Amino acid sequence: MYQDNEIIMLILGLSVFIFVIIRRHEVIRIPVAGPLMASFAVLVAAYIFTVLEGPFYPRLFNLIEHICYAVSSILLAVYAFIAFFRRKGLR
Amino acid sequence: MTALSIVDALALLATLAAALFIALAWKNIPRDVAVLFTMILVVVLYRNLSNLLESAAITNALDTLEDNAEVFLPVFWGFLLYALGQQVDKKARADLTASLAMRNQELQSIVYVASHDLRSPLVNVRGFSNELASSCSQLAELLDNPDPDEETRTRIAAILKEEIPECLGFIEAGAGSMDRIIDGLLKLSRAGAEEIDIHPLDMNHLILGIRQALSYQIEQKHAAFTLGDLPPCLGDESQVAQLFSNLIDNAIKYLDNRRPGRIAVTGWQELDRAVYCVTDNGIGIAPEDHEKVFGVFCRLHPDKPTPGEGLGLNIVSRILERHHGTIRLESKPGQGAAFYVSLPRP
Repeated sequence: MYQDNEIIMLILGLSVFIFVIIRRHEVIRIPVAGPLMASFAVLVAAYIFTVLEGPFYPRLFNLIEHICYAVSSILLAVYAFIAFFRRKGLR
Repeated sequence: MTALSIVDALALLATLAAALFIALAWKNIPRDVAVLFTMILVVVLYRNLSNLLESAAITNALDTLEDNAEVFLPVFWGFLLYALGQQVDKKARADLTASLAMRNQELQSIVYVASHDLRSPLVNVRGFSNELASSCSQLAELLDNPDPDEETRTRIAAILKEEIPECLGFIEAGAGSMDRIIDGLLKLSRAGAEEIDIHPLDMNHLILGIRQALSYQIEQKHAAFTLGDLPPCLGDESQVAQLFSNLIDNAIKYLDNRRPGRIAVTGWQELDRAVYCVTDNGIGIAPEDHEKVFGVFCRLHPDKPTPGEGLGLNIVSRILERHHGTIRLESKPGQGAAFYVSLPRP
């Protein structure tokens, strides 16, 4: 079954996600917001699969969860490259 | 190697790459954003390493700490997004302040120049109005005499035929000059205030239209007009037309009468910009005047009978400012001028 910390992570992740959706007009003004938001959305998806892997299809959902982590990390790297490295910082 | 460990290795490599990018750009990143981003990377790095070690069946010793650290990740994300939003607001405020300061300075210079330029025709109008009043009172005195002699009649004729028309001529010229200045100010205010509708523009079609509208002036100067193949750009049709109309009109006005005039408009693409060049073989502009020509009411040759209020290039730079465009001038006296205009391209 699922663990307590997985549920807490999911609740916190979804709370931040809802906060982002509510304030989406401000969030999209962040430079290179696309990869950053996508990275966070995929991370929240990973949390959902983490919880789901407990009761259903453990091997499949575990693989999807790890793929989500990998995609989220790649998107974070893309964001860091464009926003910090190629643009020489945010200042 | 299982599929899971390949995925985890990929995640670890991506996180290391992100850490490398942030480390290389560290000094250019606002401190709060850099710290939050690092905290996220530390947790993600730890999680991905723990996942890799577990999926590669090496150890699951990092698991407990990973589970505890991961809980904070969404919180760090929330703070990071908030900090990035604050940075955007800070930058927007700084841009707005800079833009307001620039506008304020520009307004002050317009008020100064306009009042200075309006004063000289106004002094003329006042002076000749006094002259006119004096001529009228002289005329009234002379007409009081019921039987004027020959000398009086000659004087009356001189006042009516020479002095009064002369005064009226100067007053008319002064009023015309003030009218042109006010008209120029109106154009200037419109260039900065009109709503703009940005869309892709067919520049070949647009410049051809301007060439047709200016064909009379071009033919009068016996100038040759060459139009190259121009790339499209993003802009408001009427404002971009006004911009190039002003540049071509200037090129025509300042052609050198001692040689056959040549005006050319060419263009090319540079990354995300469309660059256009308006060249002429006219009288040219001295390097020390290159910045001055974009000023308000700037006329480098006020003694010459060239028409205009000295606002054309100022309007050009205002239009470009609103279109996120730039302008560069290359010119030397007697060697013509080349204006390079850069605009965003679709």
